[in-house]
Amino acid sequence: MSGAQRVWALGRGLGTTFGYLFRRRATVNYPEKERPVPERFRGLHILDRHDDGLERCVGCELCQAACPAHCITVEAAENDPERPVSPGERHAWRYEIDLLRCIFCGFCEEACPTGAIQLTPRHDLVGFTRSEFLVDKRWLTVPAPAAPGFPPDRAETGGEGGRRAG
Amino acid sequence: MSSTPPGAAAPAPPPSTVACTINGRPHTFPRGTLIVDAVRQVGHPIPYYCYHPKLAPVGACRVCMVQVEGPPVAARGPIVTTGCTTPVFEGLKIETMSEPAKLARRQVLQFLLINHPLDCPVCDKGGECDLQDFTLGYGPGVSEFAEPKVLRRKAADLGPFLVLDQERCIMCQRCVRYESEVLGEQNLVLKERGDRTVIDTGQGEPYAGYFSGNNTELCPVGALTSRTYRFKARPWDVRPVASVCQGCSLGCNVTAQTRAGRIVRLMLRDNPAVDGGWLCDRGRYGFGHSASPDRLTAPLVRRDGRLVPASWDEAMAAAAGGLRRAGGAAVLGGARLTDEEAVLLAELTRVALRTNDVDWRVGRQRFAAPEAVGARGAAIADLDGADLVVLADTCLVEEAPVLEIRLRRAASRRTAVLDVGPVRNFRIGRSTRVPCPPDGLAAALASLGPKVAAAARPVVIWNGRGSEDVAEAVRALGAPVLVPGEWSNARGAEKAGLVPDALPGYHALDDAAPVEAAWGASVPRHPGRDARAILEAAAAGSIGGLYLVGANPLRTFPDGGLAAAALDKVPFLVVQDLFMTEAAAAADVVLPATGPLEKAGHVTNLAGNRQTLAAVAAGPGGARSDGDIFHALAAACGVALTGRAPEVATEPVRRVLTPGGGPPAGPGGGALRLLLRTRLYAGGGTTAFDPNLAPLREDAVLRLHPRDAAAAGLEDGGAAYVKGGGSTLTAAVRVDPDVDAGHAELPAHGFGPTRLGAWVDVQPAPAEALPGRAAAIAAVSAR
Repeated sequence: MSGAQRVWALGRGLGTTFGYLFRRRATVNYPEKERPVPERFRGLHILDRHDDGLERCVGCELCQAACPAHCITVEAAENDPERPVSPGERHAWRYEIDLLRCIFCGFCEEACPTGAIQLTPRHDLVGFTRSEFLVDKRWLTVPAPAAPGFPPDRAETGGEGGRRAG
Repeated sequence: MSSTPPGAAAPAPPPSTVACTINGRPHTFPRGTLIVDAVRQVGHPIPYYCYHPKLAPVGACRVCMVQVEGPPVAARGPIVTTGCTTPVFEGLKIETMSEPAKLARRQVLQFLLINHPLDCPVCDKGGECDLQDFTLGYGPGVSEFAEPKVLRRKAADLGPFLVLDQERCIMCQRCVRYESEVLGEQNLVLKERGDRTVIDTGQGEPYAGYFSGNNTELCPVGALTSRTYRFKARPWDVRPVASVCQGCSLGCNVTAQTRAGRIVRLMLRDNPAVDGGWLCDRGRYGFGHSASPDRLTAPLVRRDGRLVPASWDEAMAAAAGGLRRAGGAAVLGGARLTDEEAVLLAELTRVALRTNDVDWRVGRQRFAAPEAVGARGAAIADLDGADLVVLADTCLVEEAPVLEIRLRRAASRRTAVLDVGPVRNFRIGRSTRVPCPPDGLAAALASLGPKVAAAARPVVIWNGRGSEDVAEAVRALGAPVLVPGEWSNARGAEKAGLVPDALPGYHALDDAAPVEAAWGASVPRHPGRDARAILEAAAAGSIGGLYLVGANPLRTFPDGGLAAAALDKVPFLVVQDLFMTEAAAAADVVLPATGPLEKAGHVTNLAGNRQTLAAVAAGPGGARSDGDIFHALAAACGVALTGRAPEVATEPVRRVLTPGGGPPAGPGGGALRLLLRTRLYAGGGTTAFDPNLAPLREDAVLRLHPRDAAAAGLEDGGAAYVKGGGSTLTAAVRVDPDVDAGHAELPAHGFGPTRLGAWVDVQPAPAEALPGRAAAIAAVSAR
């Protein structure tokens, strides 16, 4: 390779490098900044409520049956008519997802007859121990509206373990 | 399963067949076969709701529509009709999947769904629902009915076990027909007309029968469901395990379903030779004891007067040391073990404890196998074809409830029932009472000799109570005998030799060679003492140690005063049980055992059917199976058990029934003779501790004749003091004309009743004297 050729090659290479200096950067300063996700992105789950504050989940276990990763555990109980947790006769006293097992396929969302379990664009899934990723109703359920009587006291219906991941 | 439902019109007398075609293929069936049965037999799918193989056809749901064409309707061409009400005819062409048949089914399903709520996600039937399945398979997909659905009662309370959702009911009437055809009761009826029709109990009162749970399996939709299973699981997340109910000596076949190791429900598993495909409520719902928080979870040893938790090694050393002290040991109980465990206990008793002082008979039953007292055994199915059944003071509905269903069915056809005893035992269906006092049973049976001799296929049902004179009277009748006893596996215990006067395999005490060959050890040959003699010796302080295996004589032994004195005086007491019973509370060592749903093995039912028990659930952590405990206890005594069952003797030793001892005759006596009788929900075993059965438990309910009640100033639903034998019991009063005058009936397995004398006086008591549970029973009675 002649000297001129070497200088040419060096110049072309540096040209590429310096060319990128003036382009828009592909990385963002995560976690301070977040890249927008696609509209139909399937991230972390929530359990939604009705407008009146009652939980949408009726504990039918269809999400558990649909889950290909077997990461959902639901156990149902009967509603106290005086202080219902959800509309109708039945609610989930236990709802747990093992987020490390979840493959975020969204089948649970599809199976849900009441629109209770939903996959949000949130995807900040971090933690220090495995048990932090076993999330329960307290983690999943969206906050109740600030109406008198809500949220219903779920001390007797809450599952065990489960803390907010991250 | 017969092709014609029982109760249907009898088929034409000449046994003949008819040839017809189903979906183009030729088949022959017995004349009178219903089209729906014929189609099912050849394996074509056909939907139905009201049709059930065990019920008479009614044609209510109209969904089993098939197209038929042939001689009886030839002029009309192909027509669509219901398969469950039409028998096959010669030359009939049946099409199940023709367009007219499919259209008819589609339209019927659309009608059935007009008012059916679409609440499948919260319905306990969802996932195993015929309405879901057939709508998917044959339904319209979308409904043309946009009108709002009729709203009715949801979660209607039908008593402790049943929940009714009136919106979901499709009026197939299976439950109503089961109640009237199978049970002969009318606990569930149809009310109102047209689209207002609902299922309900007669007056809206709680369901009163013992067989309500079968309705939940008959119901093809989610209308009748079980309270104990309510929202506990979905059908796809349970693990089914085939096992056998150990609630009574019948041994009905069940499928236990567990979720994450916990039993959520028991379902029937049809065995025509044993249960005929039904379960009683105690069997179906009495699984709650398995996961009860009151279970014993660790061995307890008495130190400084208190029972404190100990390791198994410590408990075994203490038990082995205490049982081998001076005076010798005696063993009571064992009739709730498996066959294998009973053999282990027999070997432990004979080889390690060196005694024949062992007796499973801690209640009133004196023997288990009819052969053991020289009578002939009957098969359960013999009841179906019997022309005469003698009930020897045995109340089947309380003692072996599912056998009562079989007897009711037989009695509704041509079986004559002779009901011997001081109480009407057979209340539903035709029967003839033969009243006799409790000690006059032998004479009453003897008087029936000619009637039994004249019968072609008689069966005697005797619960094995009483002594040799009753056995002699039963032998003299010459009919085959069924012995519905007090314990689930008394036959296994008897065969294993848990009796003082015979060795395992019904060998006589001096015929020990086969037993010694099986175990490789010598066995004691002197006759042992029976339960009463053991308790008397213990009360006299002449027994060193007493070992109670799944037995609580304080509740079950007919002379509760003697049992209390014995447990009080015996120097060393070991109790092996599931719960802290009154006997366990008095023990020096308490050994926690696993229950009948938590261990595998074999059990022998009242007719000698040997059935397989499966470990359905895991017991509480620290508990061990009875067999493991026997092995460990023998090891602590320095003996290794073989567990080998000696061969059964070709000539079973003939045992003489000693009187088990009823309550002692009270000095001076009272006005009424005390009858201690088995009641389904007053059992002394797991029933007493089962949370599912708690609302129905009855410890102290006094039943007596209206005349006696009037004489004593008692009224139905009130309270009474029952006095006798120096003891007083407070009981709720039920006035019952089916109890003969001069008698006072109390549940046998209560704590109080066994302390009363043979004759009692009754006096009115203030209602507030009743303990809480008895007061609740009185309240139900008053309603």
